[in-house]
Amino acid sequence: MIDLSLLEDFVMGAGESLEEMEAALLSLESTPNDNELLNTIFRAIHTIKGAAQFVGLEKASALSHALEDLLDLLREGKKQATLEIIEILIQAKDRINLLVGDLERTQTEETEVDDLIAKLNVHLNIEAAEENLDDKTQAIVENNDEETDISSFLSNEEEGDLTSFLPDDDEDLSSFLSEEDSSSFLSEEDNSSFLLGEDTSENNTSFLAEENLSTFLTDENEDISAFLSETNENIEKDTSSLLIETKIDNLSTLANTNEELILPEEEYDQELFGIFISQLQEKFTVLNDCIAQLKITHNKKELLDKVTKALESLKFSANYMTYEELTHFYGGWINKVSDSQEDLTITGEVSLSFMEENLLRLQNIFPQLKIIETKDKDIEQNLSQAINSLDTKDETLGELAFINDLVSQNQTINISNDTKNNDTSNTKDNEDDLFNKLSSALDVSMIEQSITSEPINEVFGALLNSTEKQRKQLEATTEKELKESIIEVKTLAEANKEASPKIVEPPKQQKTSIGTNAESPIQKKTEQPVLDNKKATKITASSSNEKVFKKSIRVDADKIDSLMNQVGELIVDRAYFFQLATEISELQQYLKESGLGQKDLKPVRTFAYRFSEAIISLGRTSNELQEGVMKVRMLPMAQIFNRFPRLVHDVANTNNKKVNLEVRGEETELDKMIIEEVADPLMHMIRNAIGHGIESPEDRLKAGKPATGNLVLEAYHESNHIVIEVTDDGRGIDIERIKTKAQQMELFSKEELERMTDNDLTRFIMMPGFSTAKEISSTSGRGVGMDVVKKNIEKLNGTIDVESKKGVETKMRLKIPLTLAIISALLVKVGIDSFTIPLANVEETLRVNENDVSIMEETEVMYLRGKTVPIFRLATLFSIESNNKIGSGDFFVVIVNTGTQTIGLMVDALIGQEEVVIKPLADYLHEQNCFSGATIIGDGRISLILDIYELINMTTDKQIRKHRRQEQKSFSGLENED
Amino acid sequence: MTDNYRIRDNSSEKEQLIQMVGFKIGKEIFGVDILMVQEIIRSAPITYVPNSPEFVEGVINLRGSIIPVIDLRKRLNLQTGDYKQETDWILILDIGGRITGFIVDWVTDVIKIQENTIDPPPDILVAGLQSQYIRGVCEIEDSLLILLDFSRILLVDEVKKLKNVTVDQEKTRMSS
Repeated sequence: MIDLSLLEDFVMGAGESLEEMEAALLSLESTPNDNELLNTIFRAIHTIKGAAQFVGLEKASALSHALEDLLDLLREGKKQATLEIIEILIQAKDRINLLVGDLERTQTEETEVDDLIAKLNVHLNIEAAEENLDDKTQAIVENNDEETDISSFLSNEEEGDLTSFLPDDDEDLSSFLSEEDSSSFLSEEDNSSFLLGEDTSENNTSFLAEENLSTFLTDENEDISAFLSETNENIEKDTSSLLIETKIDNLSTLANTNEELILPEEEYDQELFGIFISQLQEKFTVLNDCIAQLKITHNKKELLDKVTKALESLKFSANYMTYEELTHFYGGWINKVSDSQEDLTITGEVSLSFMEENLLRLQNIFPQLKIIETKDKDIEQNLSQAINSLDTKDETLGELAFINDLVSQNQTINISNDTKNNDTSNTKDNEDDLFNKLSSALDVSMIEQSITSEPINEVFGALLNSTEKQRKQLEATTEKELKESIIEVKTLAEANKEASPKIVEPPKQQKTSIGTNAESPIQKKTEQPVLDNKKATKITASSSNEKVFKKSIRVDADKIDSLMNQVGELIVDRAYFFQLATEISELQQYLKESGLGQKDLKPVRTFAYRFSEAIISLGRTSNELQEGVMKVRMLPMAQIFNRFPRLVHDVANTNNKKVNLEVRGEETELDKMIIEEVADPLMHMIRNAIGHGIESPEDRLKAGKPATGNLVLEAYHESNHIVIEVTDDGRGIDIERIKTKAQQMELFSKEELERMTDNDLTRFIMMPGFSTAKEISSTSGRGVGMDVVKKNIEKLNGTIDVESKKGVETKMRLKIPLTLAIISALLVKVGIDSFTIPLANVEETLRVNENDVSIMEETEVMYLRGKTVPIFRLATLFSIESNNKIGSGDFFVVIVNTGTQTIGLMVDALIGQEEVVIKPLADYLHEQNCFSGATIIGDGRISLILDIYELINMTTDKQIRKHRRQEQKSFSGLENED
Repeated sequence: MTDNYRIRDNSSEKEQLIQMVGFKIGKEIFGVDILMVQEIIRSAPITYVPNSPEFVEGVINLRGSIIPVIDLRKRLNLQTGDYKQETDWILILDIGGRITGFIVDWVTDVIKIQENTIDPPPDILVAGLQSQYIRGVCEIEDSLLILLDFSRILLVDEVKKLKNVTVDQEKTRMSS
């Protein structure tokens, strides 16, 4: 089922993520071990997966899930990002892209993904097997290493020397608290995102560390008394040296692993979290029931199915919350269940121990789940179980974590025991001591664990766990004790307040929650999310550097366009005001001449002055506004440049060439509309550069160049234009071949060709149907490409230049105006009408004497610095009556070019340069004529904008027609005057 | 198009009044649905567009928008009247989103007619006009009101083939 309302958001979001992913994938090719890149890819695919699941897209989420699994292996270093794998990743990315495309068009997922998932799974399975082996050995090694190390520290702790580690003055306590706080932030960010199997339970406990701390201090005030009274007993039961050793061992393993983790941060949403927890609770009950039934019933298969279903949904919800470690945990669990399902069919027996363990772990992660009564007896039992399995070295990963958890409880108890002792001996300093002891214990572990924060969190987490376990025993405690403990907690809270005056903000929050909770424990639940929020903000702030970079608003392009139109109007109005100002000064002059006295003239003069002042101010503001709005439309070239690494990669692969793409100036900004228009031509040019320009690695080596070709894509500003250059260090353009080809095509005679400069010849490659390629390939050879490029660029009022040195390089240079909506233009007058010529096309303006113009082949031409330039009378072209009569001496010529051709346009007068707003003409006026639009000039009249490209085409067409006519005439022998 | 009118006639039980803006070219009275009329202006400076179809008089600046202006007389190939007014009227119509101005001789009042009094265009030519541009005719006060189908008048393909059409029309007229 697909939620249509969310689909649009999904499509947009996925598009962004995919782009990000592609960029990372391509750079991964060169640096396969870059973890940062892997993380980026992972994040992107994860975002897609989350969104896909949220929207209800099965295929997209299935594929992205498989991708995630593979990426996980890469990220953990269990698999190398080989080219093969990158290729698969790229394929998968494309497939998702296709899916997104499907969704955009038809709202359904049409593209098949199963084949890719199968491919991915092949890789996954191989790796999974290897990974298991690796992990086991690794874990064992670590185990042994650290056992010895930490036992020494352990003995210290056991001897109760803890107090000596920490002076017990208040300041230290506060500093400890703030430290603890910030470190728990860190750990929270880190752990929440992903964890290795070994430390799942610890990290999740620490995940809730802060919450647990407050819980420990407040809500569970009953527990504290129970805690105090019961700790001795617990200690006797649990502190066997073996256990403690294992515990410490695990602690350090944990610390080590955590040190290595650089994890993406996340935020959470209290509402979502609430839903998540309630769902978890529900499924947890289901699982619990199932497992209980599994023990007695024979219909195991059905129950296992039920378990799998429950787990699936848990996994999805965990994934939605982006709790990756949890998702993994569930994933592993599901796999185990399906394994045992297979076992069931074969042997008829199922091992259920792992289920119980997993349930327990889950419960430890989320103390909110209070279903199973865990008693010390159970702990012991589980512990021995775990140790046994540790011995058999089976499932080391899971078990380690499990033991770890259990052991950490013991540690807590140990600490509490110290506290207890202290309390009994010195009741007055009860609270302070409790804190001191706690903090000293924590400090010890902090020092020992080389300042990683996890152990602290773990202790706090464990503290909560043990209090929970002792809740049952609480029932035995008397009413009186309860009251006492409430008072105790209150004083504790006060002591805390006194002790930590310099505490940073989040701990303050904690304090308040302590205060209130002591009075009404129910509030705890509401307080927690607040804390969470607080954390979330903090986390966001820490990652703000990255976020700021992406801060943007999605706005409908139409809105921007309409804004742009308004600004255009304003520009026209401004011009109108300027016109008015001129008229006022004319009026002033008139009044003066008509004999008005100085005295009478004065108010007029003052007004004229103030009016012009106001107009200047208006001009300034409207200029700024215009620039501002134009900037809104500007997008960095990176928008399209980012697509090209992929293109280069693909084209190079298909052509068996090695190409290194270098991109410069991707931050250069260009109007959005133009960016879109430029993308296609650029793509052609890059294809050409790789297909034709860059030689095969063998040829390159022969020519003494490095095997890998270099393709440089560069964008920069040049006054009102943006210049985009595509340079390759390939074979360059073979002028001789062009000549031969041109001769073959009978474009020009040999003599004409000989006279042409290399530059002129190079331009032939942009002629339609002109290709020097020997054969047509999938990417090039039809001679259409460059022609299309040229047309597209010229449509944008841009120009294209080609420079080439044979055997060295080819450089294509696009010069495009920054925006389409407003252009600088030259206004000219012909007859009574004014016309606008885009300044981009204007080379120069000349005042020419009639005698300098000669006639060649019925066309007027003039010599301009040794070149012949054809001249066309705009008046004749447009059949307008010109004021310029032939024989009147001098006239104005505007030399215009389109990059390839240069002509002169004869006009009556030059009006001047102006910024004009282009307005479209009705389509039937647009086609088949040489106007690209119209603009409104200062006096409110309309001036048509010349489309120089079309104009030149038109004139050459006319010339061709003339030629034909002449030829026909000469053939038929008719020598009539035309 | 005439079908549309019939269907509307059938569907509306009551006799419905429609409002037309009447205008004159030469002696003929034409009508256009008031809902299509955006505004009516008196002469505006028209900028000639070179190389445009003959009936396109040019473009005008209507508060910042550039609007093509068609000389309806030329477009419909009506005989150019002997008398030319000092100032023309320009009807600005919204024809399926294309805002276009039409030069007419005279704009009359709003004419209210009952929908069921509209007759399909007669087979014979009315006022030298091809029936394809006529939506229907309606008699008012002893004269004939011709309802024009502007979407046909502005049919782009036709506009493009302008010259052929003009020739065809000439031929048709001559042959009839």
